[in-house]
Amino acid sequence: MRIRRRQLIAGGAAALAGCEFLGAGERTAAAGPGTPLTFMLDWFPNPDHVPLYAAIGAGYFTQAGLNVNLEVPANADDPLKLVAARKVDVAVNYESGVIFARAQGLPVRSIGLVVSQPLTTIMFLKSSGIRRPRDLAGRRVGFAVSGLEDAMIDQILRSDGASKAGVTLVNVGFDIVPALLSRKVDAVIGGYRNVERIQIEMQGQPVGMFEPEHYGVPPFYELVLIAGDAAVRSRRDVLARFVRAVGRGLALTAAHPDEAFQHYVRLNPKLNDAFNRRSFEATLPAYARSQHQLRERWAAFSGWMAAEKVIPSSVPADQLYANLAP
Amino acid sequence: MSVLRAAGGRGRTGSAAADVSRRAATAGARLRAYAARVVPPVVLLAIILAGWEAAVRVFGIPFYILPAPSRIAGVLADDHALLLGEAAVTLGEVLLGFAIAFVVGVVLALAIFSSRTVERAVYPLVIASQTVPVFAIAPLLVVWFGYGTPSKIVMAALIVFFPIVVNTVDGLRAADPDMVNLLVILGAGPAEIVRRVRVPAALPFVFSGTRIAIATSVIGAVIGEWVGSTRGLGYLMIHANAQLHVDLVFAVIVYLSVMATALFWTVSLAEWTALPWRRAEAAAHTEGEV
Repeated sequence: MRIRRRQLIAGGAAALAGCEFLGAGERTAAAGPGTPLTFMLDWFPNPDHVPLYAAIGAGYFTQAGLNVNLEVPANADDPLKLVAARKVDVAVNYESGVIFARAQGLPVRSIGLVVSQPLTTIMFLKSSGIRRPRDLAGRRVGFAVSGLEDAMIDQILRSDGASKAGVTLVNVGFDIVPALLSRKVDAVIGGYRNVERIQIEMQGQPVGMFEPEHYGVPPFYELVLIAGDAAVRSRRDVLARFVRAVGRGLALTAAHPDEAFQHYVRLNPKLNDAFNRRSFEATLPAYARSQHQLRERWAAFSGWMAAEKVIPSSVPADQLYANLAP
Repeated sequence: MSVLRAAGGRGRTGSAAADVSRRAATAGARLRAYAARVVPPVVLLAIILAGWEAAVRVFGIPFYILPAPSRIAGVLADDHALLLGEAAVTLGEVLLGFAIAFVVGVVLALAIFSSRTVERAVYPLVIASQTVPVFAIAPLLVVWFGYGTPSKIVMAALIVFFPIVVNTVDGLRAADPDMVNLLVILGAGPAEIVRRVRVPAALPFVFSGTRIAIATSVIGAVIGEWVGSTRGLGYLMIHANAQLHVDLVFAVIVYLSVMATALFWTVSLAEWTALPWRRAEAAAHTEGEV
């Protein structure tokens, strides 16, 4: 969701900036023998992707007989469409993205996990005096369009006996950090605890957060691996090898974080800075520990999205995921 | 134009018999002329839509890559209240932005035309302003002017401004020098020359610039809405995109095109009304063709 709002910039301005990242991130996998497989990130390389770069750098994909061609999308919604249209084999996306896609009839599902905990929050400066969700009443809350912003704030306020009717919602579009720091808004929906929190703290401002999973939003997988239904049927073995290799990258990241981070910055030299280091450390507890997806999680989050009316009706969980590499 | 008029004149006076029958069939001819103008674009549009619909069905193109026109039409019908409401917001931003840019642009063009110093100082900056990608400054405008309507109006105005200034300056310079000299000889002052010769000469240019400007100003308002807004067609578009409502995105695009086209024709109509001498030339042009 954090990423998704950046599609705005991707549409234009950051097509310029994005290209730079593209140069760094694209086609980093070694060309060589093996089954070719196109793999698209959800957005430009960032610390969420460290385990993926660790798997590339440590040669896990090559060892799995895969020749992975890494692509960076121009827009965070593109991977869903491109996977559905079979232009891309596997992509990184979000649990909500898969559910939105299924609700619209796109034949995609999750086949693995990268970040298995929610990272998104409602974020505010401690100096704002906000202490609990109901303190948001009468305040201006910024959001980036994710399709879920209304549902998130509605749920979090309801859990504290308040209503979103008293909150002024403002689309702050391109970047939520300046909106918060310049105090144009009192809080923002969609700030990540491992990204925006670090950025704001590096500006010397203490940050407060409401984590959605503590206020009645079902816990969800923040970053998942998606593939098309057809590929899951016909190339199950290739995809399972891919998911296992990602699992090895995640295991390497958990056991040897420094080594994993070194792979990441070696493959993305421009990202070797203090922010990426701190963001990576903040992400460490959230990386997936297993590739086994829980049916209840998919069902609960899909049910919640339907209850909040962001999708017309709940999507059956067995359409949303497939465990390929137990 | 004068050549065309002459050609039209020859056509008219070529044969007395033809002249009579022509007069008898004036109503029919007018209808035919109207049909000749309306039928080709309608037929072409129908062919394009039919080809699009057929391609989607024959090649089985999924709706999330390219929705069929019939599917988009369904969304246009189902969500017309939503679309009209958001379109009104965007149209308001476009018109306000256009009005501001038009006034500022024309005043600036007069200043540039009147003074070499102003021209040397301002013209390069005007051109430079157009080279700044609107996408790059959109987020800044939002920070400067806030998340409300003003940043969208400024965005639309920035896009409109340039063609208005450049065309108006060109138009003011386009006056027939013999005519200007004649007025000088007759003792007219600079203000009178501008009023009697330069402004009438400039008006067609101003209208040309305005036509281009107003159609593209829609883009400015939409970009403004993308980077910070909770209303308007641009907002509806990114919201629909985030939820993968691809057909609604296309429905918004239809609305934006229709809006830009309608604005374009409105300016053309204004030109037709305001510049009767152009109307005569256009009529001669059409008759020359017939």
